[in-house]
Amino acid sequence: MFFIPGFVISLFTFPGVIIHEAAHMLFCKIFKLAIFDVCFFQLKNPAGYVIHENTRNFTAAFFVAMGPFFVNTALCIVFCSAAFMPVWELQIEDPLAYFFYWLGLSMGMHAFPSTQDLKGIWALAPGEAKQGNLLAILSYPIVAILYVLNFGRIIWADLGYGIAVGILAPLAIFKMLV
Amino acid sequence: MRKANCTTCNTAIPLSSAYRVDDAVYCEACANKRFDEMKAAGKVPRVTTITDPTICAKCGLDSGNSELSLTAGLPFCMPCSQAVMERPFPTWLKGSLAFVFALLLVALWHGRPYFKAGKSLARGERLLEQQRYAEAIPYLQPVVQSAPECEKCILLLAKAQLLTGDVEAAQKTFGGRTQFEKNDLSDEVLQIWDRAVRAVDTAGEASKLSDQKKDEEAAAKMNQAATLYPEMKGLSITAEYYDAAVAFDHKDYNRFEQIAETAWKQQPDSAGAVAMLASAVACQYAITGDSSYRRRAEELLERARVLAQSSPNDQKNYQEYVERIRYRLQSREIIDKDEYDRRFRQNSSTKGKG
Repeated sequence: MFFIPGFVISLFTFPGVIIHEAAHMLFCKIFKLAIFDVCFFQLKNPAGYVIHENTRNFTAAFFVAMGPFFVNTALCIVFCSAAFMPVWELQIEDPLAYFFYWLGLSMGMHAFPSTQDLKGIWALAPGEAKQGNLLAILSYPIVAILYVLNFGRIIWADLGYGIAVGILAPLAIFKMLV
Repeated sequence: MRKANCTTCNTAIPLSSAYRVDDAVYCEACANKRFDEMKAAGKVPRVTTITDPTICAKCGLDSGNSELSLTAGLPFCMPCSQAVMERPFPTWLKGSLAFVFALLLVALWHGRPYFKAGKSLARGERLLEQQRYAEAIPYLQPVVQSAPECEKCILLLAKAQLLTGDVEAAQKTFGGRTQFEKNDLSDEVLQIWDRAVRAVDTAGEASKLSDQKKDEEAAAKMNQAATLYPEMKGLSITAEYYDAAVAFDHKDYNRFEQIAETAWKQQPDSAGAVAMLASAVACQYAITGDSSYRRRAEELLERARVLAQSSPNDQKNYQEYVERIRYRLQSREIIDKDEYDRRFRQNSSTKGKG
């Protein structure tokens, strides 16, 4: 496994970082949480952040933390779907298609919520789950998997996720439509 | 601004610059000292900053002694409270997002022809799986035209063409390309291609033997080619013609008629097949003198004439054999084409037997 400094990865996949932070911010606004500070992109660690109000509302905490996962994954699927056919199936050398694929993979690579975000959900989930909150119950496996995958970033799990979503989802959509 | 006295040095300090170490309030210097002491004693002190409810947590505005309203648990002045609660997306971000969505539309629009080609490819592939090879070709052909570098597309189209017996079309599809990434599909298609090429070569050898009047060897070779590559109907048809020639050579007119009858059933719209049957029936008439054979031969010749109208080559062939078959019917003498040409024609170059 070769090592590439984080800022280099962030630089090459900056659209994903910006969308990730924008998704956090979007859900903060939807759930009317105060946003104290935002950085959409920087060549430092972390590559971006949103400092927002803590909440005891599990739904809000869940969606604010998981927002980038849903938004980035959805955009990854859409952009990769548009480029999937020429790049993977038809082997057409179309620069625009490759550009869209890069854009899609950038989004997919930055879909994982940070460990900090996941910790927030993890802390609230037991209490909510005891009260029968279905979202809290469902969040357990999701958060657990994402937690593990987050550690897997060291072995490019984020890139693997982007590629898997960027290939398998368009393929599934295509099979469904044809 | 509110002030607090340091627990250790009793100095009055702004509340917002004071620290709480466990439950006591300290100035920064005393807080650090206390922290080190507790740590040395093996304790883990809890250190927090203290929020002054009269100082705005964002802009630092001092509201004197009156407490600011809390937003998200922190004191904010009115403008800052509004700013943190209604923080807008920056204009550059909104512009970028608009650009991304515009790109998304472009991506989807740009991908339309590819999607169409992909759909066609998927349909062609499905038809191939269902062994409907001829039906798959019209779906796969436009895909190869729009994606000439797509190995999978080339291989699928070539497979469909080879399995419908169209070696020439498959050769065009390959376009001189012989190297493909090794996988199940390329292995399968190249195996079929190899089988087809061997069959065509064997058929070529059969044709040479036929030219050398080695009819039996030619028929054996042609049958070998037809067995090797049964998908190419032309080979089995030609093999039947060669078998018919052998039967004619051996004066086995029953067998000749039987072969010609089978060939005609297989291709009822072929002027050549109808003519071969007319020839065989004319032989039966020549041998037996049974007029029903003669009537049938005449009917078949008329049918061959009509069918030959569709192609100049068929018309040319018709002109050649109709004369000989009519001679056979009139004279009841069975002679082959070479003998007929020797007797009645000069400068004849067409091929034929019975």
